[in-house]
Amino acid sequence: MDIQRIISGCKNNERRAQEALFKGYAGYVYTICRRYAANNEDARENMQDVFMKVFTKIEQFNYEKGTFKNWVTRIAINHSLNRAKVNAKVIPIVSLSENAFRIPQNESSEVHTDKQEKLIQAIQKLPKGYRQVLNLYVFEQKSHKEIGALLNIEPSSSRSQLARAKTILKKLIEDHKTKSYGIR
Amino acid sequence: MALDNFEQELFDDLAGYQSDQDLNLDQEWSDLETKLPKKKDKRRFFFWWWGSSLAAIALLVGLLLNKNDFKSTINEQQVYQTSPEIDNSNILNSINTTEIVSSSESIQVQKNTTTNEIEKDQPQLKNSATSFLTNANIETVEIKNPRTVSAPIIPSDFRVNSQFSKTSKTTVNIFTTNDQKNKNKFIGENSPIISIEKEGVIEDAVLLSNILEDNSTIDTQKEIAINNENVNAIDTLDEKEKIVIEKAEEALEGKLISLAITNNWSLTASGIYGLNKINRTTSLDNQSAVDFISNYEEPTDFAAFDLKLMRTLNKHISIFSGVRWSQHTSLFNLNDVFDVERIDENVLTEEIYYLAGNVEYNYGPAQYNVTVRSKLWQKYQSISIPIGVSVHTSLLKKWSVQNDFAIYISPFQNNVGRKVIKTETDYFVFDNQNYTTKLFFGLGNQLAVNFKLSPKFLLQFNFDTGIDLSSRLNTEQHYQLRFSHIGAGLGGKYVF
Repeated sequence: MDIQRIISGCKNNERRAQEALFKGYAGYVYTICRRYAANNEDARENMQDVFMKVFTKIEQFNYEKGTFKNWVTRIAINHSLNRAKVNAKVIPIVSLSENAFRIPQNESSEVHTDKQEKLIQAIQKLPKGYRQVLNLYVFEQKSHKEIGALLNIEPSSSRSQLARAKTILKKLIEDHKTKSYGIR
Repeated sequence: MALDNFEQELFDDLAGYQSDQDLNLDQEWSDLETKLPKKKDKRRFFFWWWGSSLAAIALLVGLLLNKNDFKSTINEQQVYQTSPEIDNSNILNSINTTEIVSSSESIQVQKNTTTNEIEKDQPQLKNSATSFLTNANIETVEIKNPRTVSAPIIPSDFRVNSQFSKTSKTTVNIFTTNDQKNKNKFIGENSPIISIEKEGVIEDAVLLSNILEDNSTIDTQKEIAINNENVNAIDTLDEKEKIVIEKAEEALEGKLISLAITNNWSLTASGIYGLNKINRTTSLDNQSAVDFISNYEEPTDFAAFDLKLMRTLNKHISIFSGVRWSQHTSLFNLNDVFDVERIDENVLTEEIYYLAGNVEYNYGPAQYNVTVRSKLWQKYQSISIPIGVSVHTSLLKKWSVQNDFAIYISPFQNNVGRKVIKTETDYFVFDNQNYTTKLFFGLGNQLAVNFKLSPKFLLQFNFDTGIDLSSRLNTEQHYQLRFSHIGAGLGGKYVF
């Protein structure tokens, strides 16, 4: 089934089309949500919310205004930015200095060993504001002015938060490499 | 905007990366599917389909019960004893004069005929009665009523639906059969009985108010009219003959007859409880606010109390009005954290711990989290005036079914409760009482099954549906708010 037929089916509230759309885009949306969320559980919840919005607002989607993927991306990012979760508390950085980027025991046994997974997990450990700025700047290619408008902060604040985000992220990656190779 | 090396490395590593390895897509879809709204038109269809089905079932059950009830009310044990006095009844036959003898124990039958009308065929009358008519222009027959005590004739409150100023009509069945069982079948427990003796022939006239289902044992059936407000006379509709019966009021012994149920006025009080559905739309720019409210506000229940004053037009149709108090309840269930932007107050936004051990505190007008965990009950109350039509089966029987359809005019509202409305950067609490309301209209349908507890009082089981036709809120300032509901209830109907 091509995407146009799937979207048409979704507009008619057809379950099969909705399922096809969900299974086709779930990984993509989930990845975006993971980058913006503090943990995978929040990301999974956000992903469900994003698809709820997609299915309830799909009538508003218009091909003339852009691709469906861009539309879904915009919803996922907007939702991730707007949705402040109870569990999405910023991890106090004081603990980062002591136990920076220590993968929890139950997760360390998981299969996620590749570089991307580690990077995403590192991004998730960033304070919320830093994480949002980093995502918007690096992955959505927004300028600091645009980020400032989106997050209601000054462009200079966006700039400084990006710098701090990168510093912490580099430190987290460094710490992880050190621990992985047993170097102290 | 150029990315530095670190940023570029991040972008290259993650921009095209898709991570769904820890996702169970089937499970995730299953979870999502339960939250997805069902097809709107289907939901509406099912709402009315259920309503119509229940209405049809209730109507069918009512009709069946009605049919059975007729049989069940046959009092096999009831034997009307023929008083010995009946043999001594005296018929006064006075030609060309009208003589009405008022007596507490007598019935006077007056027949007015004209010569031309005598020619007309009267097949439904017994020969003796026909000849009785042919021989007289005006005849007055006085008959002593043998059953004034054991079986009331016509109580003083006896009324039959009237479309004229003083005349109403019903059916008189004249029995001449000696089959007491069949006679009792139609006489019933409370029906008025008229015994007439004419020239040695005894005729029982029973008022059954047009509800006869089997007239195989009836020799003569005449449609008659009840004349005058005191209901102490019966006229035939056929003007060439007139029967006037005066009965003994004191002979009623306080008994009421079932025909009294067809009286003109009744008052119904009932309570209804059920489910409601909110329809909230807007043509304004506040769609996001409406979406937000819709996401968090779930309808819960519906309750109403009705008082209906009903005027019977005829055996099957009545009109009514009255008052309805109703309440649509919903729950604004919020458990969320808002990012709030305050520009007029400084808050601690960050505590930055540098790796060197320095700490930097950032204060300022910026985002911070506000947690709201509330279950806020919303109660939309209104007082409405129904104007409607009721279609019903005969209310004379033990079981009857009625369907009341009405337009509701609702001039009064009281909306109780608060909502937390979130905007892009802030939130605020809104009291429902601050919404400006307006007069709104609605449609309602109530299907009821009545059970006659006594001649004047009926127990009522009802099934109620309704829908708002217009918005309850001022749409120039707010959104359109409309409710629909479905419910069941219990009530009582008193017949005056």
